[in-house]
Amino acid sequence: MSTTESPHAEKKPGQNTGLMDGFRRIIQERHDYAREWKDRTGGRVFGGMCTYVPEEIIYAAGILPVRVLGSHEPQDVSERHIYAMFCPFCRDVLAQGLLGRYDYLEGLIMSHTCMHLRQSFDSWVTHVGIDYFYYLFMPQLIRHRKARGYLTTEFTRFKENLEGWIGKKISNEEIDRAIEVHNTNRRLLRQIYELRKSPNPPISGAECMELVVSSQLCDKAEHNGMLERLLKELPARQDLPPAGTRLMVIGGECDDQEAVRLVEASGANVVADDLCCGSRYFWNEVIPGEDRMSALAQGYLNKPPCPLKDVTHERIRFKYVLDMAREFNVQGVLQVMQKFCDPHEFDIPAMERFLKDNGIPSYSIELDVTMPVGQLQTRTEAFLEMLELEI
Amino acid sequence: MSPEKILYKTKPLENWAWGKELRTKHYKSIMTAKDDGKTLTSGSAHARILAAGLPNYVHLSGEPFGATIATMPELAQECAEAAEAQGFSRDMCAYMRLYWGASFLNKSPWGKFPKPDLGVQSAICDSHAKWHQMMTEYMGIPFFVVEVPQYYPALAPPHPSMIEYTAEQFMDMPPWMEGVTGQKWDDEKFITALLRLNRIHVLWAEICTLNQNVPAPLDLKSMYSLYWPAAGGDINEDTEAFYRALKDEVQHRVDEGIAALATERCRLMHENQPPWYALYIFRYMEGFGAVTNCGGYVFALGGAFDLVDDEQGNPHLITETPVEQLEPRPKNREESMYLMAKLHFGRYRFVTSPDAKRKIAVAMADDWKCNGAIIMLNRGCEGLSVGQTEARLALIDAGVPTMVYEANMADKREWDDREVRDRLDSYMESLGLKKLED
Ligand code: SF4
Ligand code: SF4
Repeated sequence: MSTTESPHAEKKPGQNTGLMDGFRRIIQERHDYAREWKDRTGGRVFGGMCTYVPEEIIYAAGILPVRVLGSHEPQDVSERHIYAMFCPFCRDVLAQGLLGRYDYLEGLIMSHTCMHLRQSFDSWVTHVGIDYFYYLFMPQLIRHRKARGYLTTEFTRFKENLEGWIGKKISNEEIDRAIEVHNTNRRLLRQIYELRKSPNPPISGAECMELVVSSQLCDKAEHNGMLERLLKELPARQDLPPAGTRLMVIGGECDDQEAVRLVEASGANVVADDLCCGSRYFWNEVIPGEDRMSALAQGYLNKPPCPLKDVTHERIRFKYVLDMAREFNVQGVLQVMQKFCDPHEFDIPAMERFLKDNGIPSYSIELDVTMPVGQLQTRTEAFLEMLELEI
Repeated sequence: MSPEKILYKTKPLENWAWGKELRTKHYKSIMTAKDDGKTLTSGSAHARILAAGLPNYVHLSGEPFGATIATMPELAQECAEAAEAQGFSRDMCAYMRLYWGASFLNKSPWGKFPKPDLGVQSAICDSHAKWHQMMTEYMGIPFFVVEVPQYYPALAPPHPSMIEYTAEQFMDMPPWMEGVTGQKWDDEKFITALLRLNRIHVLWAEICTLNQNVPAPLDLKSMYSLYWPAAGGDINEDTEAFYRALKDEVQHRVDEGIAALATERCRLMHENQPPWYALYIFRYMEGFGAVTNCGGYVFALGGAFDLVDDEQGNPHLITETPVEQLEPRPKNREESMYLMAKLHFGRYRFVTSPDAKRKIAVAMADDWKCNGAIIMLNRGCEGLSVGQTEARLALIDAGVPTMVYEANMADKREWDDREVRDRLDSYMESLGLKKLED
């Protein structure tokens, strides 16, 4: 199917009804949002460099955690600091700092996932400057019997360090509230994801990504209100996304809603994902416990793992992807990765084989800072055609 | 820079052949491991200590194996293409791709690929765990992996919880090894090996430090061979004796003013791995009277160094004291695993720490009396490439003329000989060096 023939291309779901406007605005005006939030609340804003940053602790301290993301524009400021063989995402992220786009941040937090982003963090701290920075180590061996204890100590040390910086203790009640607000957000997002199991999902993949990305950029309590309204409105939605081939998109730091929109415009319905800016961010709730840091630690260890948190023969990530693909009745899986993203480069061939062995065709696409539109479209269409033939 | 006319004494290293022999013996024992009834383990070079409590084992160190293939460009290309044919990207760790490719093709520089009995790894770089996860799955062999927390800034010592976490993971290893090999773990043997490896690392650091002298008694090209037993070879008496003898010999060279390069005019640091298939660039630089006398790669992977600030806040790389002189010998398994965890951090916390690498580069340039620095921006190793561009900025800030070139340490397809030579020529010119008459 060519793009021009696609009903998806002509019809942009959500735009007519304004259902998604609020979420979209948060993404497009993320910096204004954060500044306004500061003016409104008198609070501080911290940037988080990975989905493994324990936002609850920051939120409990009265600080707004926002995810630091790239802008998907060409830039020439990071090259002196990060060598071009590092992924475009980490270079784009650093560029945002160097260009002063995050000049309102008081703090920058990293939870170790990959060395590429470790470099961005270091260069940011060194050259952009920031009042407060903290680096956590997030275990790779998430199922190891000692991982929870270790991560509990990491979180406790972070909390104590932060308390020292803000000059006050963070109470258990504040932590509990933060966990509740975040869990509510997770629950609501998951309810919306559940709707995608239907043969005609009322929400597109690109829109779902907008929900998850916007959740990382604003006050969760506010986001929860928006999600609740959306959940009420979705059943009555008139401009449903056109039915298409049911795809699951999996991969790395893809916050590129345009890419998903393009995939859908080629005749697909992205109904599930395993993305850093998708289900991996929110899938499992934190189960509250008496020892708050330990409960949080377990919650973060329970996240669907990224490739670097899945390093044994157990292949937890593969099972998670397969289960999701089956639950959401997908016809094919699109693996998207940032160019030079080593963590995902490791998993792609093995994942492809694994999915094939389980009867699910897959296809890999590489993304750069700016999206090669024509290439992405041609490749997606080829994959969809192949799927149609198989079906 | 030294005056143009000086011509230092020089002579070949007497212990050179011994170093080569250690390597030959090591690979021979890998190739005959099965026949000799030895357990063949594989993982990174630094992970070879993990199996040292097994009664009879030999370890195929992944990186040196990849580097050896890299010196054989035809085989290297075949291996790289075999890995690519399996869907692995060209920008991934090049040692790893060559190792994988060799196993896919069932080839090695000495015949067939020596299939290990088990994989054992401690993850410092992001590629470590994934490399051997994939490989051991492919080979259908058991895999034991330990992770070593990365922290920031890395100049401070690790938090005790990090050592504890690492040690506790190590604690699982002896019973696991006993289970998969059916052999009894020998704690005493392990402790002896651990302390010996530490002494070997200290000896190598001392040897590297002797290269602060003018003229440099060793050149980096030779050190790329000499460091190998400390970084990836057998941990035995022979290796330790080799380094003792080498240290004595290098000390003698210093005392006698014996240079690696008779025409030493200029001293350069080379950061990152070298292009293994094009080591001739070091000889090329010597043609200008430039000796490369230090580099983080050979220093850090084989030597026990620490980074300390002096009273003025200037960083220095100093050799660590052998651990047995600082604390009592471990009395049991738990103590030995804690010591291994501690030594792991001491040795490897700087490998992927950009903040430390900046300082190390500046310290090295200063203490090793370098007139300039060359950084290879390595497309084949993301681990060691962390921090390199920032190290360049730090060196420039410190007034060290710095040149960069792009290459891949193990993939010759990415080598542009002309471009590198042109850059070297301009760099030498900028340092005021001219090609010397023969
Ligand atoms: S896209 Fe890959 S390499 Fe880049 S920051 Fe994410 S995990 Fe790391
Ligand atoms: S440090 Fe470099 S050579 Fe070693 S495993 Fe990592 S990427 Fe490969």
